[in-house]
Amino acid sequence: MSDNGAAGGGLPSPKMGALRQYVVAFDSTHAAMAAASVLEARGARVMPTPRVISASCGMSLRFGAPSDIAAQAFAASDTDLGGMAALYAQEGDQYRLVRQL
Amino acid sequence: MKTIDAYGMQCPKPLVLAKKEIDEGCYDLAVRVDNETAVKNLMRLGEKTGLAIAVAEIEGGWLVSFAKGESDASAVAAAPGLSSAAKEASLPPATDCGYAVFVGRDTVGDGDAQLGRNLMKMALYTLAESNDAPTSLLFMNAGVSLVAGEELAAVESVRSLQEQGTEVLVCGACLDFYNLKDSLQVGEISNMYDILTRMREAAKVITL
Repeated sequence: MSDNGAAGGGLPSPKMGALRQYVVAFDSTHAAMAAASVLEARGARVMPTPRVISASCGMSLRFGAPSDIAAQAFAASDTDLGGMAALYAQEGDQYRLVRQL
Repeated sequence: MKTIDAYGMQCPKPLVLAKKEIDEGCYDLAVRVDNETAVKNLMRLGEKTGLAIAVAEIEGGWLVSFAKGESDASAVAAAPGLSSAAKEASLPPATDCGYAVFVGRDTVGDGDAQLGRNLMKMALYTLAESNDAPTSLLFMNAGVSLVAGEELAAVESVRSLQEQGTEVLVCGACLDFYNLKDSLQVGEISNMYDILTRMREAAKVITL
């Protein structure tokens, strides 16, 4: 973690901290599949929930999109998630909780 | 000539790297390897692709060179561990290597079809992200619908695997049966002979 790149004044490291994608983790596989069937056409893809996100069923959606597209897609969809999903931003190897959905 | 340094790499890595270059049209290629298995696999790759092979002993291992044209038996004399008969025919014995993934259906497991199809997409994605790509990915029966049609998620993962050097073979009879021949998005139309050969050559076969 303490190697060059992150701390130096030069170019930012291409790996550490770079936003890779958004991941939506679900409490229920049914909700994940319902969301997938609506959102796949808009670029969402199913994936196994990353191991480091423990509070979830095993199925997640990922959006390899610039910021907020995931959230926008959710706002625009008529999928009722009932607070059973959470939006994470993958930064490097880390997943940061953005908000509950 | 492009040279790949595959010292320290175990089977099937040197083979996958060489195959990727050849697939991209680089025929003037040399690979430095340090184990006999890699030499044998590269020789078999030359045979499969119709490229001439030359093997030279170098410090710490062997240099296997590919070029367009016919192989010369004397050019492989430095190949390790081959019988003289095999050297003459330049046909090393098969060496099991890598793993194959057989996809004979469009779902993982039995049960709900929609769940099964999502699990299949997740499985292909996981393979593509694993840093340990299979040597071959083989589609048959309803499995061909994953790479021929509208299912972009599966197609993207299979394409990523192909870029990592995985050979993707798709059953032509199955595409024909499901009327999907014109919809093939990724992979090479193949047949029972080649698909079973890839399974036989793999050190293990995972059936999804």
